[in-house]
Amino acid sequence: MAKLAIEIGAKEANGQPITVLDVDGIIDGSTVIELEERFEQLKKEGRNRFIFDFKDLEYISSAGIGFFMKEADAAKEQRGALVLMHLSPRVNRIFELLDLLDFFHITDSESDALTKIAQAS
Amino acid sequence: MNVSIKLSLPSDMTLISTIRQFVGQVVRERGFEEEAAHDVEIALSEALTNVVEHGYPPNPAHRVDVACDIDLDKCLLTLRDEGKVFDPLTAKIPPITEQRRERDFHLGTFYIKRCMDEIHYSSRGGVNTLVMTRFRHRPVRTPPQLARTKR
Repeated sequence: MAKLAIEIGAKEANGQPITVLDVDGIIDGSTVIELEERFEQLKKEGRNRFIFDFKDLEYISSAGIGFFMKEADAAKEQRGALVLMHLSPRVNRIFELLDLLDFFHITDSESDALTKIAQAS
Repeated sequence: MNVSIKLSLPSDMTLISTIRQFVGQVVRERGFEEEAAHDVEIALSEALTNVVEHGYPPNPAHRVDVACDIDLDKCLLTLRDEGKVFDPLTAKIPPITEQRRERDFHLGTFYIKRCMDEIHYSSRGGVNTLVMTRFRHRPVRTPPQLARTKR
């Protein structure tokens, strides 16, 4: 059984397209490469506004945290946006342990995520 | 009743999540509260990743031994490997704010230090031993200061 499944969808806010990545399973050293490759492909297509839906994400390791830190910085520099949505209590704690809750745009609601995207980009 | 688990694993990144989940389940079933059990899972996962990713060249023929000993007071995790020496207590790892410009982050060591109450590392005769302790009930302590990372 695949440890990581990524489903890609689309939304819109203020007439701007937003890519929604539904990330299910585990992001760790063995699966982060797949996430990196899929994300790189999306960026090559010109997409720069992203919502990551973590509702079915069971675990994220430091490899995954590093990926999101790098991409959040890149999104800011390129006038894009990256929002993390629906973190479970365990996943939220993994961000909290390194004092990273303020570093990211994190929300529990899709409407709030769309608002954050519109404000950030 | 005390519980001891001993595993010998190939140096294979794809096995780490399975081992993490298994040990986490055992720790919870021994009555550790959620935060403590989660800390054990995180530290074990990060320590194993350090060995597989940085300790050995890519080759599952290398092995790492994992022991988990649980008693009334604590969970003791012991990792033994024969790879490169990597002491999380003395490794020179830049603060998180400085790592943001690098391609690769080294955040695993921060997690190990945050999650576990005691950490010991030794290397003798080509064998590296990392021992990490998480107490069932943690005394109130001030967490180590990490550089705050704000957007």
